[in-house]
Order: sequence, then C-alpha cells, then structure tokens
Amino acid sequence: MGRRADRRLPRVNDVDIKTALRLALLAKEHVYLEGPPGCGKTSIAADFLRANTHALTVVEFHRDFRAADLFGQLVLRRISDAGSERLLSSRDRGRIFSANALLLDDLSRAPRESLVPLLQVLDRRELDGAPLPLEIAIATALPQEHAHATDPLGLDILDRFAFQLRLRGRVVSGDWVAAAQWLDQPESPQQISHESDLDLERARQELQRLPFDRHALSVYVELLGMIRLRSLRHSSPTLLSDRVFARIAPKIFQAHAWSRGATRVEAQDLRALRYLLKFRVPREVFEEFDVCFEAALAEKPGPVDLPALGRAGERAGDGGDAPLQPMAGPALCVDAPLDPIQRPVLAVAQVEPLVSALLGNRDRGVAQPDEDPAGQPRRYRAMRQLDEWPEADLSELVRLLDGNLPGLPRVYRRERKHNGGRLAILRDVSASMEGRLSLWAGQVVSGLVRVGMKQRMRIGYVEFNHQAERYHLAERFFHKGYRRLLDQAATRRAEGRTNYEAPLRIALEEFRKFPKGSSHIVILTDGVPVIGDPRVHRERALAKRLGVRIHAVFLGLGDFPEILQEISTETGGRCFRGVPGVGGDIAVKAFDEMVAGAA
Amino acid sequence: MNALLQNLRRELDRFVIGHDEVKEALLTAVVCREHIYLEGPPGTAKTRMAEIVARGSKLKFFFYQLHRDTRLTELLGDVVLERRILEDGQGETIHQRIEKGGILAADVCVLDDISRAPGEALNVLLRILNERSYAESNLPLMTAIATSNPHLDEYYNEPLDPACLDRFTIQLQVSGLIQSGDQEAARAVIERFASGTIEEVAAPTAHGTRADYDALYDELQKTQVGDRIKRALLEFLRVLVEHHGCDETNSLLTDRSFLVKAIKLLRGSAVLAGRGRVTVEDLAVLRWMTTFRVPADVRAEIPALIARIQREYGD
Repeated sequence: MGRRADRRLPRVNDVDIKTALRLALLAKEHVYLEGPPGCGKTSIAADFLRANTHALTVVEFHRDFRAADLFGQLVLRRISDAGSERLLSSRDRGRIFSANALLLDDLSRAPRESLVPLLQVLDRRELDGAPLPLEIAIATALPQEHAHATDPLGLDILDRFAFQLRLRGRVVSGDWVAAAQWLDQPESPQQISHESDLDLERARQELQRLPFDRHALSVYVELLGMIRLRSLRHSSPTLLSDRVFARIAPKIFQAHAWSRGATRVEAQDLRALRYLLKFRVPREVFEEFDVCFEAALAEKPGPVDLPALGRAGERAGDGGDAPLQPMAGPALCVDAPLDPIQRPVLAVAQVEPLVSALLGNRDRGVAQPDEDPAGQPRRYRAMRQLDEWPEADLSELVRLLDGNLPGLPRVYRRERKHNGGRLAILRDVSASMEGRLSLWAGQVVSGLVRVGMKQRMRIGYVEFNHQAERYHLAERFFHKGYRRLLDQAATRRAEGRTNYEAPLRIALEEFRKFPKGSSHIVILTDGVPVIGDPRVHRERALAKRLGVRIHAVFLGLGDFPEILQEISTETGGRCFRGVPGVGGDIAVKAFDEMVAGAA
Repeated sequence: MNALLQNLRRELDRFVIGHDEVKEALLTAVVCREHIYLEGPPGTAKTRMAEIVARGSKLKFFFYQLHRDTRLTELLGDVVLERRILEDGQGETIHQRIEKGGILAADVCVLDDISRAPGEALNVLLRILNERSYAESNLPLMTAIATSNPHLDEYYNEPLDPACLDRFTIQLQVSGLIQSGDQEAARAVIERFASGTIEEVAAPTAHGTRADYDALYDELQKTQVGDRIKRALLEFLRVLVEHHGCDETNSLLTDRSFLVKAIKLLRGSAVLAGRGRVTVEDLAVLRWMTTFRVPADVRAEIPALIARIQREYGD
C-alpha cells in the first residue's frame, strides 16, 4: 500500500493503527477513531484514505448537518395534470453516490436524527435502491470528556463501526521517538494522492476463500467466552453483538491471514480481535486482551495438523467459484471455566441508593433534555420572534412568504442533555478512619465518581480532618477529571481530628459561584466534629439558601450521629450508612429505610 | 525587525503604555498566523491592543463583541433563502445558505469577551478557527484575537473548556499596570491622560497589506530550525510529562500544539528578532503555550525550566 502514507502512520499507543486501517480496508469494514484534540486523528485517516482509495469524500459534521447534505437534496415537483395537481418528491444524487471512501470528521457533532440514517446507509451500502461504491468509512471523534457540547455516542451507534481504535497523544503518552519523528516532518506535507498498486478487489476475493483452521475456530469461541465472562464482572456496559463478532470478525481474521501471506486462518490471526474491542468491553477487559488470548490458547492447545474447515484451497486460482460463506456465528454463551483474576486494587462500593438521592427522579444514565440553542433539532416549536427565521421549517417559511400560511412557521426546538449538576465529596481522613474505614471511604468515593462520570457531573473533592484540603484541577474545584479523582480515592491517609465546619465552608463557597443546576454535597465520615462549630449553623443556613443538598454517609459503628441527621434533613438531603458486604467490601444503604426495616 | 512589524509595534506603543509581553505575543501571533487568547480583568487594554493590531494593517478586519444572545449567523454573514424554479418550470428548489461575511471574510478578527458567547455560536466558531474552512472553502483568516475576563462569579461568564482553549495557540494572562505593581508604567499612563493631549478615539495608522504579510509568512516558513532546538523542545515536553506529571487528565499537551505549532511559534519569534534561524532564545515563546495548558503549580515552574533548557542547549 501507499509507501509515503506508511511512513506517516506512526505506531501509537495500544494498537497498531496502520495494521488496523489496512485490515479494515481489506475487509471493507468501517473504522471509529477516537482521540484527544490535536493527536492527528483526521490527518492519519485522510492520508491513509487518499493513498489507498480513489474517491474520498470528507464530511465535516456540525450541529446543523443534515443527511441530505450527503445523500442529495430533496426536490419537490408540482405537476399540473388536467385539472389536478400531483406532488412528487425525488432526490438529486448527492456526494455519497460517487464516494468510495468517506471520512466522517468529528462524528460526535452530528445531530442524531441525521446520523442514524447515515449509519444505516453505511451498513447497507445502498441508498434509494441504488448500490453505493462505498468501501470504507473512517469516523473520527473526541473522547467524551472533551466533547462537552455534544451528546455521547451510544453503544448502538458505535457498533456500526467494526474497528474501534483509540489514539493517544505522543507527547502526553511520553512517546518521544514518535514525537521526534513528527517534529522532523515538513510543515505542510504534500497532498498525498492515490498511489496504491494493490488490486483490492482481487485481494478481497482471495481472502474470502481462505479456510478456517479448526483450532483457530475453537480458540475464537473460547476467547469470546472468556471476554464475555470477564466483562460481566464490571459494571460498564458491554456489547458483543452477533453482527460484529459472528458475521464481521471472521472476515477480518481472513484479511489478517491474507496480509501475512498465509493460506488459512490460524489462531494467531485472532489477535486482530483487539482492534474491535476498545469501546465494546470494559476498559479493564480490553487491557487484559493479551492475557485472555494466551489463556484461550492454553485452554485449546491445538494439534496443528487438523484438517481445516471449508475449502482448503490454495490462495487464488482455486477455481474461483463460490467463496467460502462467512462463518455461521459461533455461539457467544460458552461455559468457560472461571479463571481467577486479580482483584482490582480498589473495589467500587455499591452506591445505588445514594445515586437515586443525587439524581432524584431522573433516569439512570440519562440526563434531562432541556431547551438549549446549542442543541440539536429534535422537534419543532412555535416561532417566537421573526429573527428566528433561519431556524424555521423551510417549506412553511416559503408559504409564509407566499402569503398563504396562517400564523408563523414552526422553528426547530433545539435541546441538549444538560450535565448532571455538581457534586462535592467531603471525605473524612481523621485518625479514626484508619484501616478498613479508610478503604471503605475510598470505595464509596470511587462509586460516586463512576456515577458522576456517566452523568457528566462536575465533581469537587475535599479531604478533611481538623482542617480541610481541597483538590482542584486546572484551578477548578468542580471538574470532570474523573481519572484523577479515582486515583485520589485510592489513596489512604488517616490523621488528625474531625471538623465539619471547614470542609462544608469550602464546598459551599464553591457552590456559591454556580447558582444554577442541581447541587449536592456528600459527606463521608465516621464521627462527630470535635473542632470548629460542632452544629455548623452558618453552613446549614448557607446550604439552605443556595439550595445545596447535603447527604451524609456514616461509616462508623455506633449510633447514627444526630448532627448528621439534622444537617441532611434541614438541607433536603438523606442519610446513608455503610454496611459491610460479602468479601469485606462496602455497600451504602439508606439509613431511614434501615430504621423502617428494623421497626 | 522587519519594517512592517516595527510599524505595528510603534502603533501599539503609541496608544498603549507598558504590556510589552502582550504586544510581543500579539506580533508573534500575527506573524505565525496563529490565534491568540488574552485573559484578564476588565480595563487592562486587552481589547484596545487587539484592535490596534487589527486596524494597524490594511487587512480586512472583523470586530465582534460576543454576548449572551450572539447568534451564529451574526458571526458568519447573512442567511439567505434561495428559491430557484427548476428548468422544466414544474417545480422549485428551496435552499438556505450563508452569504459569507464576518469571520468568513476577514483576515484578522477580534472576538471580544469570547466566554460570553452561547454554546451554539462558540462551537461552530471554534471549529472554524481550527479548520480555517467553512462549507468546503478555505478562509482568508490569518489570526483571531480573543479576549475574555477571568472566570469569576462577578463576571457571570462560563469558563472556556480546555479543548476550546487549545484552538488558541498563544495564551496570555493580562494584568493591569496598577494591580501588578508596575508603578512606572502606571505613572506614564496617568501623566499621559492628565496632560489631556491624547485623543482616545484616534485610529491607528494602517501599514502593510495582505501581500506584505504573505511575504512575511514565506520568510517564516524558510526559517531554519536546527536539530538542537528540536531536541530542546522535546526535553521541555519530557520534563513536563515525566517530572511534573502532566497527563491527559490535568493538562492539554496536544501533539498539534506542541509538535506542530510550537515549531511555528519558534520560527515566528526568530522572524521577529530578524534572524534566519531559530536559536535557544526563541524557546521563551513556550511560556505562552503553557499558560492554561498545564496545572497552576507547574506553570509557576515554566520560566525556570525554559531558562535551564536555554542554558543546556545554548551554543
């Protein structure tokens, strides 16, 4: 393939991007490429496509992108026909009809209502009954923590992209060799033109005929089973769809085998599976891929010389008739034995009751959509001012101009899922928190942070004993640096005595800057204050005035301190108690429910 | 220094006393065709300096004061509704398009109080600044100068998120002469205004056309960057990542900014100094890149770090 492009495709972070893109092109599958701003996602994709395909169409997504911009504009015709009138609609042929490669830049910015039909077209490769010449689409996107203005892409949308890759910046990942290479590049590289001399069609025909080694197949089934089981142990969502893992994956293994010049698909080709897993399984499982793979190999030590499945033909020129059918889907539910895996350093506490207190009546994992001018048009509303006309429904606008629309035309009602508000976590690190309590407090913190991450909440974190220490990120108390918070949750210290006043004051002063949105404080403690105002009168009054709810999680053993109950009742918060669960981890239970249960 | 830049610097000095660093950064931004973000409390001549840079050249200039109700179309030009009868006369097509104006037609634009813009305008705006293209055509835009108040309760603004800030290669915090204790400069300003000879509204004299700036940009691209300088830049980044713990969660050390644009700024600094090649002195521009991209405690270490690297990698 394109030699110049190869030189510009560095091996970055966890996967070899070059290999993955090459396999995707051979297998005619789509690629999702995620990475932080400025890590070269778009240029890598564009260079690769320019070098290896003939007709590249670049789509830059924006808030107002309409599928019609790519598919072709809708044309309405009024045809008068002897006293009657017919209205016909058709579509002029848009850019997609001539593209054999699509670069979907900044996918996360596309409005959902345009994205869904587009993805269907990508999958079916036909539009209005006409086949499209499309071979490959590469979508780039920012990670969710950078894409503030847009809704997160769901698993359903991501599943349309068989290959899922994550790029990391060379600088931040400390890859100085690659960074130096980049510095040596000419500043404005020459436009790369098509230079591949590979006959892709021929290659695809050949690779489809590569038979599967029986051993490879059983290792694959074993491997999928292991991945599924490991994923079950984590709360983050997993999507091992049949479409991808049964229909598409075998084709990718064939492409992998073909690229290394093999005549059949062997177990080593299964390594290409990692290019598909990044956003389909929990992070921990993705990182264990190599371990899983070795374990699956060890589980199915294959005699190498078993007859291969399907047609054990030579590469090319073996008649060329019916290619091997894609594998019938290997069953996903395999009773693989549970192999012991390392317990994570910090378990995550079950914090569901606390979550429902924080989120009120909102659905879990879904923030409330609210009208917002930056949002995406989901429905229409009445026009309020004439200067909203650029947002109006075009056909109604025309009728208004023609003088035959009663009233004003409809305009887009733009809405956006607002982030889940702000949460301040106050963690007691006084001497009495020594040992298990400190571990539990950390578990509750990481439980809360994980929920905050899903809700896109901004979280502030304070550790307190007789004094309070606030942690901030880039000078912001409330932030979305969730990974940093998780690290902090895992640290353990216990010294000094307990003071409620100082931490509450710090958190409330921060809330004072953000009068809008839902505001919560969760205070994790095992004792009552012995320093500062023990009744925290001023802080309670301030919390009430600011509308901040203070929830208390009591981790100590004795009676639930009255002061915590008072604070939370007064501010509309709730009380929780840490209850040791199986294996010494902690679960959070609502205190009032426990009392009712006991009664 | 190049005559064009000397004139621009003179205009800046004519109207604004002090703020040498901001002036230098503004000139660097214009030379490098990078965007610049100035953050500072009200009344510190941010907008004034931005305006002088923009008006001090014969360039197409767009000034926009952003506000809470800013509409995207105010920044881009006019929205036009177009109805065209089909050739067969039996139907018509209706299109909505934008007649390019505002930021789409300007060479230099000043976006005043950028953090007040609603998300709607800001998202598209920042995207345009980054891609320098809109609706598949390239923009003439050289430099956007954005100003903002610091994010404080009293100013009722939302902070720009870090990804947005990364679009502005050069970032500076501007502080007032009085508040930063620069008594000498403050005194000069007071004297000037006390004498009553300054016309506040006087416009700067415009020097230099687009062609002059294009020639300057050619010069920049020909400026030599030696291996030693590249190694010094890498060492700077290595110390930030490995010694100061800068990572994806707390910093914004993007490849685009620090491997591509940093080189451009180094070249720009050399052009400003009238040199044909980049030397270790030019590494000082890196301090403008780290203002809002690394945590505050690391930022405090930057001047010392740059000085150390300059010593180590000096000839």
